[in-house]
Amino acid sequence: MTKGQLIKRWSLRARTIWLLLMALSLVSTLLAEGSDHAVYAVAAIFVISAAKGDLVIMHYMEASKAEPHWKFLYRAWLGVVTVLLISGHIL
Amino acid sequence: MPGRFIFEGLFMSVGDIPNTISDQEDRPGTSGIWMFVFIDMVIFLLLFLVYVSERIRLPDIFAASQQLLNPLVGLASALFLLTSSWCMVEAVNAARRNAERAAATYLNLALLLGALFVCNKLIEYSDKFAHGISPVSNGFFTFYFIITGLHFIHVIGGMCFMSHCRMRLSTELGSPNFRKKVENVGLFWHFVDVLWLFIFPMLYLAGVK
Repeated sequence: MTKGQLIKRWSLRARTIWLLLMALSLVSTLLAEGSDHAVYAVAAIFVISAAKGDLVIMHYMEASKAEPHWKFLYRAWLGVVTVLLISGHIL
Repeated sequence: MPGRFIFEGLFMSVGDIPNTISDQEDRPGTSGIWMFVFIDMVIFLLLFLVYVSERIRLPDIFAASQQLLNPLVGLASALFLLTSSWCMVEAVNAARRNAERAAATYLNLALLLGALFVCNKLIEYSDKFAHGISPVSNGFFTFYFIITGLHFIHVIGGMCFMSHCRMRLSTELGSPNFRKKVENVGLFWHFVDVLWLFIFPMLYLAGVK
């Protein structure tokens, strides 16, 4: 694969992730506005946030290419925050 | 001057220190920025922890107060930051391949979207104050102003760093230090984005019903 093709592929991936992030943000808002199952909706909203956070950390921040311990710590932070927020809103 | 030290330390690479930059050449950013961002993340985690504990103590006040926030304003902020983050990814990519025009365009776009976020937030704050809502109104709004205010300061900081990169682009593009600088600023900007990914649902969406 040539350098130009690599750049195009890389750029396409970044754009696809951006579209996915935008779509997931809209889904979260619709879930919050339209769902009667508040507990499940809240859990789903934070799980979606975690998924979005993981996309940003792994692909935009490129944690997958950083020192392995940063990838672990950043993902651990995502997990802790998600569990904290879900449990805090469900309790 | 301490301010200058912090400003430069945030996004200057450590090229003067032997064996450091060569070890990090193939990795995004410098160890320093990964550490700085992680410490900042832990600080926000503690803030979220205190918010959640207060929410459990005062669920009715928090739920009623959340009704006063407009989720669409929070969503608009999220879309501005996500798009700005994507522009920053493209700016970093352009800087890596020394494409000055593309890097300048994407940095400008990232800055513009950051400015839209700032305007959106300022309008929201002024609307709240106009309706008599302030940080001392109740527990929820104390957290609302502290958390969004701290995030707002991070956005302003990130925009200052991006402006610095934009101004130095034509003179420094191509140097390993500048590449690391742009990567570090990008990392910081994405972190600001990640924070909003949680602040938005926490304050605007969850528990409103």
